[in-house]
Amino acid sequence: MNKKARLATLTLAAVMLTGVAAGCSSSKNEGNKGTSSEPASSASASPASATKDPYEIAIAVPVFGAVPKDLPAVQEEISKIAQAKMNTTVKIIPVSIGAWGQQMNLMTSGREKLDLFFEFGQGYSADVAAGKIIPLDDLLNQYGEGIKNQIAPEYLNSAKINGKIYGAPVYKDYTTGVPGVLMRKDLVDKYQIDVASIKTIDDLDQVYETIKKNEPTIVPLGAGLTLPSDKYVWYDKLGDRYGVLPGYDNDLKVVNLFETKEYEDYLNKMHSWAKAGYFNKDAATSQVGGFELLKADKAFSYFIGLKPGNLESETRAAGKELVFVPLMSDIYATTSDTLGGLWTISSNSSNPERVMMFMNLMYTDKDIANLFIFGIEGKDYVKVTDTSIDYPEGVDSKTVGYSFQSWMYANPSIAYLMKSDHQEMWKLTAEANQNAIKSKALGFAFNSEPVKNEITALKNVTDQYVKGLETGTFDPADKLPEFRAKLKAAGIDKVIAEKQKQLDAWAAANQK
Amino acid sequence: MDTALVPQAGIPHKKKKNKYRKYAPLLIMMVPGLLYLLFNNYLPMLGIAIAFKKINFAKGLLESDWVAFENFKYLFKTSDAFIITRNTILYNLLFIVVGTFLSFACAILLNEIKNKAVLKFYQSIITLPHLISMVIVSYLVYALLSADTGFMNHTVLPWFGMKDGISWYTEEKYWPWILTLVHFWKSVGYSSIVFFAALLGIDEEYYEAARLDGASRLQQIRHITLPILTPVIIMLTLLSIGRIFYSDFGLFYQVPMNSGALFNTTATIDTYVFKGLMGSGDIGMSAAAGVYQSIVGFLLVMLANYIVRLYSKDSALF
Repeated sequence: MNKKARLATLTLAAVMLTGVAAGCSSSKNEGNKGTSSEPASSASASPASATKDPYEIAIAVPVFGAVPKDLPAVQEEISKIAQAKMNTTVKIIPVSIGAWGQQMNLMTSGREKLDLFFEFGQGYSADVAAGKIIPLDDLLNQYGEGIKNQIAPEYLNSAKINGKIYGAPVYKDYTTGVPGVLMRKDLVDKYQIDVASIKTIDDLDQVYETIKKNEPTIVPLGAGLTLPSDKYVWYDKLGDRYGVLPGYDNDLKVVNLFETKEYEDYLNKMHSWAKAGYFNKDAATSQVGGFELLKADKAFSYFIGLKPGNLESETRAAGKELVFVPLMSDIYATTSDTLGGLWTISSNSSNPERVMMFMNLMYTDKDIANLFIFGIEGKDYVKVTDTSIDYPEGVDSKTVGYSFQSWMYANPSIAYLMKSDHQEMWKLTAEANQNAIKSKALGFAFNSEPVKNEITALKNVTDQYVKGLETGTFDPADKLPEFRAKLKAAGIDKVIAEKQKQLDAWAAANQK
Repeated sequence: MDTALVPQAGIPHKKKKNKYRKYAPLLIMMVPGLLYLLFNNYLPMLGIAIAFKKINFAKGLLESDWVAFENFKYLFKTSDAFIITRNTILYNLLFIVVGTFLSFACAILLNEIKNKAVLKFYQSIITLPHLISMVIVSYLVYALLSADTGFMNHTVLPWFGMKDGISWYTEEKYWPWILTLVHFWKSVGYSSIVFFAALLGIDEEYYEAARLDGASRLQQIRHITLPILTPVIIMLTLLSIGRIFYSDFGLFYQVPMNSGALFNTTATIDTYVFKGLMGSGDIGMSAAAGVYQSIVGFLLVMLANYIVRLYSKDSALF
């Protein structure tokens, strides 16, 4: 090999080496900057000078499907409002729902810029334990007036873990809804079913028998994505159903649901239905929702916990007129129902004060709410009346340039309603939240950290049995004892004892 | 790299410097590859530390508290530890043993096809399943086995007078067969290509000589093909033994449609960990599962390699 060529190889190798080294060192610098500036800025902010310096808030939200193409425009409009009110701009980071968990872990551990994000209720306590989000109590007192006005204290306090609030719940219906059944109206009329006479789950036997006999192509009860047992509940789940409060009270004595007589009776009922062919055959494995089964003419009814506006939205989704038949009369407010979703401040945030100010705007500012949920007026929606909107002409839910799941937004009640929504929805929601019977454990959130090994095992056991039992596919006489034994082996008693201990401590602290 | 230098071992000391000069461009060319290995395969190994820590993002990865083996406990405490370990190992053993045999047989059959165009056709057909995502495969299986509309329940079983059909997704006894079938349908074509490539490398003269001596096809395979391919077979087997504690997540999670009722015959270590941690997303515990799997895999490779060395030194990996 001649000298020139060798020189060239060496140079190339050298360039590659320095490239790698430079790549490393620059990222390191960035990392240092991020961490070192954090304590300084958060310590220096005082109310008066709080908005003196411009700040950009990075907001991560999960997106279902493609990233909306109008997102940059929406972000700009929101920034304009925030700029005028508090010298702040926003940067919305859309994260695909499939990658959400992983992405949030990476962003947090990589100390990337992240201030505010939507938190699913089920991941909340784990994220608190992992230190991903910061306590908000002081911030709420200082800058969160609007949030405290919107979310009643008993619900805001449900987000307390170890005595501190780490997230503000999304404003929504915080109750179980009315447990009952949605049925196809055309068939109810056809067979002259007297829905008013249906009071309990046993009264359904006759209805389902009629349908089964006369409508061979459809099943009386559709289940899959959600099971009747998800909606037909007579106990406070206390988060995960490993230890529950029957009757939402039970003097705060935690009970093993799967050992109770009521649960066994319920399973027997389901099994008798399954044997009679009232369920769709693949109920235990299907991932299809109830309304989809109705839409496809495969089922006559499905269970639901009906909340204000649901009848309208389910009718729309099923494409058929529906009748609702309540099976219980009372609605209950529980912690699990309250913590569907929350807005939380990342521990990466270098200016939590400003983030809280913006969060407060999300709960109070109509314009920001409308931008966030519906996009830009004239482009993504048009007004129909003062309070209701519709898609612009020639555009529908599939082709619209912007969409956001409204149930994820901090306070959808201040935004417009779609034309097809129940226009009184938010009034009814407020009433429901106020009038619902409060579970005695409302406000208690179980921290599963001390028993996480048991929880992992229990999840696998319930995964193995629950769907088969609760769709009646398994015979309870045969499988229920097996299920109970396996739960014991997996340590359910230890989990219940831990839950009882935490609940007692919580009750003592809150004078319940 | 070592093996490349071995033949040079006898060169006198004086020439050593010369040798490095001679190979300098090659060594430099190797540098990017080595760096890649270092950054991509070795540096991430520091992440093993995560398995021994209680991760707190506020404190950061380095500052989080050490918890020794706390994160590993859940893998062994459960009453299902035996089932998931048994399933993982037995399925993998089956896949390795039968898979090797099937791929080998497949390669030999391909080798017997002399028409180039036909050969390409068969090769493409049997490799195709490998390119299909497991999620899609799971729905292909579902089309066959679905309770109401599946081909089996709807068409095939009624022929045999079984009007009610079988509830495939809740009957665990069928799944060892189904999973094995799906696995081989998907993988045999692809893995036979390695054997086929090795077959192409065998000198035709061996066979010619054998034929002159009157050896039958089977005898040729037994006495020529098999001995020549033994090192390849051993190498591939050793490599797959290293992954015996891992399972094909797609196969065991997607294909049974995550049906809990099939737990006893479809749960493996990977699906167990996934289901158990899906809610909490504890990265310490999931890292622990990964570390456990790789360490056992590593030990098994060492052991298997040692055994191979006892019998035939040349066939061993190292």
